[in-house]
Amino acid sequence: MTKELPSHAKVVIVGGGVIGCATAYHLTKLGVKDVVVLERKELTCGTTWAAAGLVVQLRGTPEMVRMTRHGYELYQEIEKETTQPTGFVKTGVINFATTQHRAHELEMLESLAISFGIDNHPIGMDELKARWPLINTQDIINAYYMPNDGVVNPVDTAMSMAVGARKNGALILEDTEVLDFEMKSDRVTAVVTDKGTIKCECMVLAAGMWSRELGRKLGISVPLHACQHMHFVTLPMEGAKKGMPILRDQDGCLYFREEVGGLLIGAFEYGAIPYGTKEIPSDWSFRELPEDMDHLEPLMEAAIHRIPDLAEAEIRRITTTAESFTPDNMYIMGEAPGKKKLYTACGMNSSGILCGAGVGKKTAEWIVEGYPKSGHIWEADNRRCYSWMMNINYLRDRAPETPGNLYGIHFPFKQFETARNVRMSPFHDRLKDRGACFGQMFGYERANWFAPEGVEPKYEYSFHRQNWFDYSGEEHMAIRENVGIYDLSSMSNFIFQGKDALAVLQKICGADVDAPVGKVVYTQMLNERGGIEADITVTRLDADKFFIVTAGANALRDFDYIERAIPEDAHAFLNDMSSSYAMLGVMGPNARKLLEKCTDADLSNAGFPYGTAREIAVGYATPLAVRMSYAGELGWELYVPTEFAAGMFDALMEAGKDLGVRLVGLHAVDSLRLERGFRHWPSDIDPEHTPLEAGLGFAVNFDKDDFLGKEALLVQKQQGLKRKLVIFTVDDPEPLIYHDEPIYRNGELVSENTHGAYGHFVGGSIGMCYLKNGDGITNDWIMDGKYEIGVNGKMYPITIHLSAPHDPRGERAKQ
Amino acid sequence: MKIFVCVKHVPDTAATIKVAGEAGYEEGGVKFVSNPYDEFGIEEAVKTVEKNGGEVVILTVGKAGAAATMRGAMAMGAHRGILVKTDTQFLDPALTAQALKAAMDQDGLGDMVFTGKGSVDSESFQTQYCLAAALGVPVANEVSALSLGEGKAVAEQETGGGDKQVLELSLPCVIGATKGLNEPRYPKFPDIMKAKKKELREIDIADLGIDLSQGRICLETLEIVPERSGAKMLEGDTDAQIAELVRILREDEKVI
Repeated sequence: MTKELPSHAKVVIVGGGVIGCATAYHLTKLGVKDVVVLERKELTCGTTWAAAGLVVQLRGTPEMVRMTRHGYELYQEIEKETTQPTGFVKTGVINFATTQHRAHELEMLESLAISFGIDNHPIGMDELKARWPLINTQDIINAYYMPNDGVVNPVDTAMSMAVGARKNGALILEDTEVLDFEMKSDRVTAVVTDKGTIKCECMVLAAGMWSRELGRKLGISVPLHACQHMHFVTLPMEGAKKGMPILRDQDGCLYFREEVGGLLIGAFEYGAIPYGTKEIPSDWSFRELPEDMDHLEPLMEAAIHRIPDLAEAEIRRITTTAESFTPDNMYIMGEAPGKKKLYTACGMNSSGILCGAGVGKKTAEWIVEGYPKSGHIWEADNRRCYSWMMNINYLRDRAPETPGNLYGIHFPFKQFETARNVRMSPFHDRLKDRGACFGQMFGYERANWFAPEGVEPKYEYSFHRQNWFDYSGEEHMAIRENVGIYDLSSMSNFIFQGKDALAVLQKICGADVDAPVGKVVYTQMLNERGGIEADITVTRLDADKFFIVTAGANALRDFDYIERAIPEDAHAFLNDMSSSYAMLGVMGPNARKLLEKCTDADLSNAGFPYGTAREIAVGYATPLAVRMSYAGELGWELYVPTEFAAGMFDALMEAGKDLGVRLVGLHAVDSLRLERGFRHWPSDIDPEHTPLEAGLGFAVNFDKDDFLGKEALLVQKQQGLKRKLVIFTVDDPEPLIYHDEPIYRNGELVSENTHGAYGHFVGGSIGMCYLKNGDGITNDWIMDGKYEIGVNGKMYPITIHLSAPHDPRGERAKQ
Repeated sequence: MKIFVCVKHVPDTAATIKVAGEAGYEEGGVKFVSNPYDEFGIEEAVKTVEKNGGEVVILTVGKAGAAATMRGAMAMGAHRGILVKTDTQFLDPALTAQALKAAMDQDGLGDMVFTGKGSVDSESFQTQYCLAAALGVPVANEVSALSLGEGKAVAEQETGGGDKQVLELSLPCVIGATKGLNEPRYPKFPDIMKAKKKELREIDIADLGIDLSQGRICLETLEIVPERSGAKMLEGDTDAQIAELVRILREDEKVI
């Protein structure tokens, strides 16, 4: 039956794959019925059809697990509502290791699974053989079994949600190609198709690998690039039994599962083949691409190695198709920065079935509630997608690295190898000459540690102390005991000015930013629920002019948050100055001594008190000097216009020579800040936690007039806290911790580590965690418990600190 | 026994074809396969050689990209391949046959030649006859059963409507294979990998002395068959539905 394109809909969803269907389904569930899904050809004909349908809940972060779990649950139940089964079969999943590093990673994942409440237990070779009779176990070191996961039929899964959406009032139109958009300032007012134009209030871009170019038309950044993606299917073979677990041979870049009595073998290989750099054909429908046998050969060899009987199996099908991948292997979700009521839900990196329902649910919540109510998902948020990322050379060069990443070993501090040197600070070459080993953060090359003379500045990854551990430790101690300089030019800074700038900031910040000129205010930007949207410093440069500093990773997000808070007729203007300023931190007990050698400014406590800022001369440069310290020591952050940066660096290094100044990398900055108990957004604080819970109550001024979240915080204050962020140190100096290790109180699982690092001054690992108690949380209750952390399946006692383990009163920065 | 199998490199029937220019189409991203009917020939040849010994040579007249398709044919068990390169997908079948013969002459004539009953792209169903004529050997097309005897082949030929006739041909002969002759095997991983290393000789069609300007059939234009639009539900009472149907047949479709 031909359905006509309506003239108008509240929500138009572009794309009829699993994500579009899931978004429509969840929107109708939230009561939004006036929804139209536009599909170019047929539902699922883009990439959904070619998915393997694996539903594996365990992912690296609690936020991701919330999404996978929603799909896991919905795919088992939705048939009751729609009568369309998803084909879910609880097969379980087996992971195994053939290298020591992988074996270690699997041990870590066991701990992670405990934190997330997922059964992931080790199994012996006998059990592995029994569950997978075809497997060659010769080189297997260890194996883990997750009994509750399974597989679905991808097309049926999308269809089931489509049926549900239709039943609840959504309209799904196939054979309707989106050609263009009508925009009015920051909104999409209509979607232009080959069947006519449909007006809308709200639009969702869920067009899979077509989303990048549609995004260009919309003026938003949707950095994704397709790569070829392939799988093989054999004829029925003996030993391939229905219901066998999914077998993931991550060291072989392969997964295996039963398919109609044979095996389906899929790949997540290194060095994938990029596809469709110029464009993805608009007539694509269930399309297969020519296979590249040279590319497939190592995968076939690995498959035979793992399943020797495959040497005799007839290969019924080799399917090469394409799927979109993003530069950091994460999705692109949320309301597009700079636009209103325009949402993206794409860049699925070949896990669109697994997370389809979760992405649909969160997108629907974003539309209806204004934020993803069931939990923030910053790692997949489109406010991390900078406009420069649409650079096609960057995307084409990075995309091939992404597919292999999924099954690669997730070493701590692992860096991407492709598309490097995208953004570099003015100090880059100087740091490189002095042994810097760089890591990339959203394209920015940052010196993470410095190799001493004769040592190659290159990561040697492992799950134990990596090759840079001691060097970073020395850098750490240089700042604690002498003086160090670090380059944090990657930090973002904005100038916010205008008659109403103060009022806007007062509305979204917890602290009172109506401070004297030259004063630096540490504050959080809050949401209505009192949750922390950003962690920033605001320096008053003038009555109507503020200098805002935030982490480099959060620039787009924080910029967007402030922008949205500016009323339409307000006299307030926000400019991102990040590319205009470089920044060096000069930190440590001898920081004053060093700086005094290249400035005439009075740097005494009286002349330049802690928490103030002003321009001073440093060599021939005149940076804005801010007396704050993320390292928790005496020091200044020097924000310098980029063309003066190199000269300032040389002046500082010259002045520091006699003092033995040391260049310090960002791994040391992280360990320094942890010792001092400073929070990091989003590791330790995020939109779901309030400053009161995070121990940042000192940064909230309740005497201030109405500000976002004030009411919620007052209620929380009145009712008493039920959870609180605490710092802990691991008593045994040996284990290293990273994130999400399980934390036990009196033997009971109560929390997980938010972020950890090794504190070289305190001599052990430090982390933070939220402790929860339904009856209210008090310091007595906290200190009353006996705490442990699970690291690689072993329990280690930890000591909880109610304030920072190092310099709890913050005196050192003020000396 | 030496058996030639003539294999054509054709777009997958499921591929979406975008016409470009008058008589061409965009090949980027289109998946190419062995002509499905030719696969029955490959299977029969490989089976025969497996039983009687000898070698199977894949012979293709096609574009450079055909090499990948020939590797697929070799993964089914053929021993080596000869690719006669041309720049065009659509060649006069008589020229194709001349090229095939010339390549066979060069390589040494075989004891048998298999083709498919026709190719799924141009569907001219001529090449096997032209080739047999050029070689001066008998031919049977649409062969769905075959047995070999001393110096002869007995072929069952589909004649339409389920009827068959049985032909006896002296060897060498040309057999145009069709469905029913066998179940073409699927390759195995080791076969696919081995096929990559098998000999594949490429010859330019001009070097065989074929003059392409001598072709008597050429493709003038290529058009996409219009997609059938979806079913349309007529609404209203029976009279109204009939009236609308008549109007559609008369005005829109112009068939009455």
